[in-house]
Amino acid sequence: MHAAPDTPRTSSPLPARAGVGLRHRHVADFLASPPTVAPSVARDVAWIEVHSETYLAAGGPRLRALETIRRDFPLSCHGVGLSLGSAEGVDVRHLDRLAALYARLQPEQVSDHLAWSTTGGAYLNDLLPLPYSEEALNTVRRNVERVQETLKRPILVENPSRYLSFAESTIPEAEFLAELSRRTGCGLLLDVNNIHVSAHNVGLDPLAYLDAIPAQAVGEIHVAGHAVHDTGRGTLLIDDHGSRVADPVWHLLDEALRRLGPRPVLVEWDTRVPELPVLLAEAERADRRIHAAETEARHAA
Amino acid sequence: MLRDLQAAMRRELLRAGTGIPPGIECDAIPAAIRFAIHANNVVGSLVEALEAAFPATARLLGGPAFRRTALAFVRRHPPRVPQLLAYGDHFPDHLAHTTADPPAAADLARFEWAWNATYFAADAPVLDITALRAVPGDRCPALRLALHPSAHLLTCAHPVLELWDALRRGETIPDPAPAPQNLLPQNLLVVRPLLEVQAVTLGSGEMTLLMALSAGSDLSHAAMAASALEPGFDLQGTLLAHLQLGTFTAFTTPPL
Repeated sequence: MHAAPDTPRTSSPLPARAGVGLRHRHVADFLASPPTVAPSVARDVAWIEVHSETYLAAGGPRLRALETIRRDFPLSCHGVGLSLGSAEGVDVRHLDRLAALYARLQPEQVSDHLAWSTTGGAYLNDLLPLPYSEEALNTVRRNVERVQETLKRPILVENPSRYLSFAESTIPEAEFLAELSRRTGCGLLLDVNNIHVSAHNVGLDPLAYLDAIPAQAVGEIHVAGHAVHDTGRGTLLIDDHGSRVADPVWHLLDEALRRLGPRPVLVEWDTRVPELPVLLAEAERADRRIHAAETEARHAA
Repeated sequence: MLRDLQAAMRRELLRAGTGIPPGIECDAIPAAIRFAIHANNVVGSLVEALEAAFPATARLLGGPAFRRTALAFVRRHPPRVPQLLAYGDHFPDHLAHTTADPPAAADLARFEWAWNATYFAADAPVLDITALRAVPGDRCPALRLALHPSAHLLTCAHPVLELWDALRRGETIPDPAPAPQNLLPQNLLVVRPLLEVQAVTLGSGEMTLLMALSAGSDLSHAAMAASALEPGFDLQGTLLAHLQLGTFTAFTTPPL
């Protein structure tokens, strides 16, 4: 299966620069130093991303702070709870709550994952894996369509980190995503750390993966740190977003940018969150690589 | 069928055993080890969510004991919706049934949950005293005062406010705790008039007044209920204190 020529073009509404995930630890820094006062924030952070579900509150200081910070930065709302792979469909009440949040925040971009987390009335708070079958593709297609109809906008769907594979899978993951994008018009969020982690854990070829992704569908890229877990029977990489981006992931980012052209790149850091300058230094590294890809693309043209 | 696979995965993810759903491929690394990554993510992240929602209770019980009881809760009562800010409302009840020692744990957890609910409640303006002063005196008994949407009223058998404050400041807990027969119930109001959560203890008349107003009574009936419980109840002083605190958001008077 190859990316069909009618794959919709996704031009990202976010700047093709580095962004950072806004975490609670840094909210005070962002509030205290709006970019006009602290150019260091403005230089390294072109946009911010938040986990949508963290802000599903009726009101209060957390939402208020985001609304204030958001005035200075383009915003991406990254969901972790839509459960796009749920066989029983998307939770309509959750979708309505998200729609209300997005109406309030007016994010430039909205995304979630190729995974599931809800079944039988229980939300399991993990991005759980799907078998890549025709049945799963139809399920995810229906769910993405439902979400896009309700939100009245295309969403981006992110490739997950994989720790296991199902014997019944018949479609390679990148082709599953390409086909999902072709059928629903959704864009793709390419997490190159996840590609690296999955490649190690379940044996993918990362470059072949990048080649199978329809470039024009990719609206955003993620990078993050991962941990190495020695199982006693071999190592598994754990996508814990708890450290600096590893060198092989930076290289994979370069490969992705070479194929896709400049894209917004997010540095995610969710556990053992460091001081803001450490995160900003990672964003600056990402920015230099986007810039290099831009220069390369211009010379090639 | 995808539905069956997801139901099987859910069962195994929440079960303490080492079972795995069918159809997982394995190589040198067994399927059980691979699946365990997800099982640990599920219960580990939910226990962490409870630790974040109940930090003082976790300190009171001690980390390992808190995590043990939180794990049992997570397995029995996983979240129903993908909204972790709302996860944990039944945790204080779980503590009441499972944790007898220290006896204040469940009450402290109830207070922390009220604090969270207040923190994330809807924003609303605070009732302006000057607007209230403009109401003619003869219409005051019929006033209906609406509590701020963030306001939570609770009665605890233990003095949780002092305990919470001590735990938050990292102080040692007074020990031994007073004998149960010496404990007076503590009435509490938790409210967030602007951005800061406020928690105050209430007298019994004060609590009755606010409960009655919250239930929709007019001022005269609420005041009567308060005076019945607390002879000599100071209505004016109490109202003024709560207007200054920001306990109310609006008032209505019946049409003439």
